[in-house]
Amino acid sequence: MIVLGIETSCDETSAAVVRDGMLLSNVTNTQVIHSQYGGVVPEIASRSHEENIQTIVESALSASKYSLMDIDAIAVTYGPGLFGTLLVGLNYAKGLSIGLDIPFIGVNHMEGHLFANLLDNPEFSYPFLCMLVSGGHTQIWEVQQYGSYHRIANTRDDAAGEAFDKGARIMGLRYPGGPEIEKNAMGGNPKAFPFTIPRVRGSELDFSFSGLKTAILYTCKKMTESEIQSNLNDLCASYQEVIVDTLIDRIHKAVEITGIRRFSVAGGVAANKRFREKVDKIVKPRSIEVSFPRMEYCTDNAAMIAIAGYERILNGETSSLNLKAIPNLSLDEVHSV
Amino acid sequence: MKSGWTNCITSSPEETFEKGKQFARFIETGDIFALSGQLASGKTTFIKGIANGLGYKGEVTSPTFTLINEYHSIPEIIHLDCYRETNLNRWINLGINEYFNTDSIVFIEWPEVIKALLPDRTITILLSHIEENKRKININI
Repeated sequence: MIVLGIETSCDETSAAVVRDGMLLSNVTNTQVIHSQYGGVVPEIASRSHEENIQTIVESALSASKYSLMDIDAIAVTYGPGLFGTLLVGLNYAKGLSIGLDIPFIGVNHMEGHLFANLLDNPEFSYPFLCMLVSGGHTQIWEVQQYGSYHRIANTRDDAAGEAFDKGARIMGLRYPGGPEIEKNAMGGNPKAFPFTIPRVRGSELDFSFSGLKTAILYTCKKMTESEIQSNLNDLCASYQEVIVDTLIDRIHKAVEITGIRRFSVAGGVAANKRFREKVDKIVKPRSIEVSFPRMEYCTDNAAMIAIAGYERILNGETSSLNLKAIPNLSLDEVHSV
Repeated sequence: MKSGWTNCITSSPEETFEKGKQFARFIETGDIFALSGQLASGKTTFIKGIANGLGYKGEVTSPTFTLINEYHSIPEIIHLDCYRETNLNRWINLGINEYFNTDSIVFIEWPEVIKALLPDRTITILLSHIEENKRKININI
């Protein structure tokens, strides 16, 4: 069975082709524009999905060596996300479904993230925990088995990736802030500035990063411009350290609370080298298995939508043409597809 | 919005949240609020309090990366953030104008980017730093 996956929930327009659960291609607008413009990315976010979707789907098909006529089903994100951008993908999928007379299945974007890990690591078994840590989300999910998801932690305010970005802005660094902080943290002393791991009242697992913005802001306010510059390595190292330590702390607590010793990590912050280093040094020696999917599957992509949709279709599910885009779709509603 | 609200100074995020809860009593259906203020001035915290005061008990998180959060309450709450997306056309493409012509209560963080699209009746809330934990909250109608 060949499934075409489509994802347009926020910034990325992405399409992927999966055959019998094996990924054949995965194309996102970022990659295509990258190659067209020789590495310079011009205002990706301003490009609309309508302009991109046809090209992206054609690229994904051609990379998979199949044509539209070979597709057996379509999997498409129907939430959560932006209503306007979700509609582009959903309506495109419905159009293809009618035109080709094949079924389509609406996929919950968050379910996609939970299964991104299976793309690289089909042996990864249930139950497992999944930490999704990006600019928009910082959550931990407990996955007992296929279709059974329980969110055990969420951020109360800002996501970890947002904390990186806004902290970087406060220190005068460029966007995106995560890689900038990581670069400037090299050689810095992570204990130079005493930022503390934020606690959340009434929850051992939830995250809160908005207080860190105030902390870094007032640390910088007490310094002159040139003091900030000469202490930049230490500032970045300390700020990065407290974010990373918060994530590590919650991984340990989640393992302790659930008794599940298998973890996958998804989202853009999974690229942070200090985070990976500390996972290797501190988490893995405690006999906790941690798996990082390849970065292209960590961020928003259609491969994870195609694979999650494939599983649902195998399960005998399809969506009806009156399926609506649901911007605040929760994963608990996933069964009502 | 109803009249009677007085500008204030808060001394902690918890107090900013509480002030938001009280502020909710002055809100009417279809109100649009533009929240201006530097990083870490308490915009999201104030909106969290307001949403709570309006009866929404779900999660309210920063829409900086998600751009638009919709909270299903009665009336619906729309939480926008223009910090990351500074292209006016993208906001138009996202159908932002449609949110301004409903019963929904709309909150916009970093509204400067889409100033040209905001209806005249938009109410500006200005949050500013006084010191590390003190924030001033001013409403301009």
